[in-house]
Amino acid sequence: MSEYVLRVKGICKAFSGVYALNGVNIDIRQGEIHCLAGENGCGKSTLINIISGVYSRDSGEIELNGRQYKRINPAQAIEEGVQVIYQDFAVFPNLTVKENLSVSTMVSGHKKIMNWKESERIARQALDLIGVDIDLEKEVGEISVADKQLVAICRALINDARLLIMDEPTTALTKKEVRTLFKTVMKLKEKGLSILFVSHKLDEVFEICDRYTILRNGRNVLTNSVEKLDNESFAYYMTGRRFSNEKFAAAKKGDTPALEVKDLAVEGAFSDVSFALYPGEIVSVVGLLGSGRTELALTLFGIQKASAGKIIVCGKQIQMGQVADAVKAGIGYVPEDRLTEGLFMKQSIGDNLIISMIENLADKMGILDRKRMKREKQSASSKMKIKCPNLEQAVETLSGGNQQRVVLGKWIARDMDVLILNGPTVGVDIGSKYDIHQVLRELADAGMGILMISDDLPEVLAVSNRGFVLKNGRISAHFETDKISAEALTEMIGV
Amino acid sequence: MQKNNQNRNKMLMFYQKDKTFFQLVIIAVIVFAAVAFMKPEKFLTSENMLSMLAQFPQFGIMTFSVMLAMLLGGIDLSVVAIANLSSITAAFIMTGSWGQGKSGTVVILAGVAAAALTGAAAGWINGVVVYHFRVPAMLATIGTAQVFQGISIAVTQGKAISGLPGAYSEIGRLDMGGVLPIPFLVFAICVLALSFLLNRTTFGSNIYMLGTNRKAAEYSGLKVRAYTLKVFILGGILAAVGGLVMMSRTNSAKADYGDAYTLQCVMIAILGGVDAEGGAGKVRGVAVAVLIVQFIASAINMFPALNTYTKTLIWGLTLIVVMIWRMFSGASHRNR
Repeated sequence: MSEYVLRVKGICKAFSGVYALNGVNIDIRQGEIHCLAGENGCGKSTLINIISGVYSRDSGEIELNGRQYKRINPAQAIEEGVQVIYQDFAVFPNLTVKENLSVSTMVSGHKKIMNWKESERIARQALDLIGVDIDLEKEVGEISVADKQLVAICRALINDARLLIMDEPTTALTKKEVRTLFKTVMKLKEKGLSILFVSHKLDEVFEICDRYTILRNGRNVLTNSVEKLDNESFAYYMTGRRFSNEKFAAAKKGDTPALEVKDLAVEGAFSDVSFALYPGEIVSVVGLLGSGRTELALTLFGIQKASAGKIIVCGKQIQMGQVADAVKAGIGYVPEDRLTEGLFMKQSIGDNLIISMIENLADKMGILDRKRMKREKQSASSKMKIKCPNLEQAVETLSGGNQQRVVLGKWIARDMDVLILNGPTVGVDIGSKYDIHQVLRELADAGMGILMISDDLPEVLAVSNRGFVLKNGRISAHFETDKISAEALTEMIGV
Repeated sequence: MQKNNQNRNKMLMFYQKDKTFFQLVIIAVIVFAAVAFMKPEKFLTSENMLSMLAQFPQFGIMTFSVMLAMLLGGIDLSVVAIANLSSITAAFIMTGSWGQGKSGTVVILAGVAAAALTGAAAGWINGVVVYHFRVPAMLATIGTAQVFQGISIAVTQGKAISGLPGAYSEIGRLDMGGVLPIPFLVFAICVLALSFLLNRTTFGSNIYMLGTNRKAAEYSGLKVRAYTLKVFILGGILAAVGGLVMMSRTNSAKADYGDAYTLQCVMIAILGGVDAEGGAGKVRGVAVAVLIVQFIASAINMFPALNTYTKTLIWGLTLIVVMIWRMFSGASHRNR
């Protein structure tokens, strides 16, 4: 048997003339945990799809368990023991755990009649392989994300996996769940399985992987063992850029608060929330899930109705409970789920950028001024440094990082006084994260007041100048970022 | 040489910008040529051209009503019911005792206004059911269609109302300068007005955005409720206009006129490039699709061998072919 489960040499793949992969090599040893890293759009997913036989490659060699393949189809890949755990897990949400685990064995056994006892035995056996216990009778749609993932892993195992490919498995997990997942992965390694672990989070790579391969723009940048790796060079290899770790000294500009909140309350979510946000400041809101932070943002933006309190923007009290009023008063909101709640994917980049200001681009009859529209689209896109050949193409054709810029861009086009961000860089790769932070700093410098809800404490410390902690719906503490450490902040947030 | 290239590039970009439209124009030309080739003695006559121009406006205008609902990601299966209810209202006013002794123009205008109001009210009801009660548009409008048709049947007791003022039924027959039938003019005005509204105003632009992603629209400060209601009200008015045109051509109003139009309108809208998921579709594409369907309909009528029974079959096949074509062109479009 070959030393390598998988060897891939000089793989090229182009989509309508654009190279997604351009001569990529990767090899994975028996019983190795190998990390595949790279920014969004670097070709990671394409590579996975080629290995698992979903896409056919244009040129290059694939060798699985010592056997050469010119063209590999999904059935052959499975035969060779390649199993992919996709980000959405590809489980059947409306079937029970038992059915999910036994369905492929049942189908490949050409059974026409469901044998429930047999099915239960297969499912139980599968769970025992990694030593977890999940209720077999529950529908998969109802169990937690982490459990869904375990079900997907078990399903891969009973299909005789030799190479398990996990596509960003930790994105949707809590810290505790990540720990459990890592334990499982180590167990699989001990059993001799090889794992291709797709991730762009350095700490994960460091903790669990033996070697790593970094891709950038469809080419190999580097393959090495993890010992010779540090944060800065990892970021550099992924993005090809050097980042400075400067801290931002946001400075208050002017004495009239951009946003002032007095005794704001929403029944069942938070109460007695009062604070002021001055132009030029970036203020962080930290707190656990359920501390009322998202409700606070939604209330400020008029999506939820407040049961008490006042919101004052630039000295003027605003009508609460209507998004249109909040926008008119100068408040912009970037939702947590930015891509699905913040973007019109099928529409053009330009139209997305001007959506929040479109009423200002029309005359009294509502007839649009096309020249001004064009000008505004152009100015917003250059302000946000969006890379695209043509502003008329659909947003969905942009890379993830550029899509993030469009979400921010639609409020920048309108010159808002207050911008509220909910988890501004969740799920964003290093390069785009840095860019988003840069944009936030520029906006604050230009006099906007920014309220940022974030879980990412290094981000809170690097980007904002001060902040407050929400705990059980009340402000429990205020802090200034240059006088506090991440550890102290963690303590303040509590568990 | 270089200029030539530039020109070609410009044309290519123009084509890329609205592929669907150009494909539709090509299909229209092909269908027209094919029918003209097979039956030149019947098809290529001025009588036939004039009668086609007078026939399609009624379902063409109703198609725009369906298109509007589809732009929001919904559908409107109650257009024909609204059209009939509106024309019945108009017919009551035009033939009733209220108009006795008043001038013909006043009576006709009052009837038209009443029809438009009825259409708007019916559209508003659709909008309320869809927005406030969150009923999927398809189910909501199947239900309201039954209600509207039920009212129509109840008030007319299932009979046709005839005896409209002579001046009104003239409209359906009159040709402007012997060339353009009035129904066609009405259709043309609808096309121009609707294109302007959808392409050049904030209202239109926002409809497309709202249809693409309702949540994002809400988070961008769009007044989702107002837009939804306005779109359905406008759709109701268009349905009423379609009904008025139909009434002028049949010289009467009845609860079940144009029953077959409901699905035909949906088919034309999809053929015309309206995305059933919402947020995409152009008036000019739909207008060309209306022409294509009229050509096919006229062609079927020119073969007496194809009786009414096979007609349904042919429409069904056309519908399936259209869907498959849309799936393929839609897929290639989305495939970056």
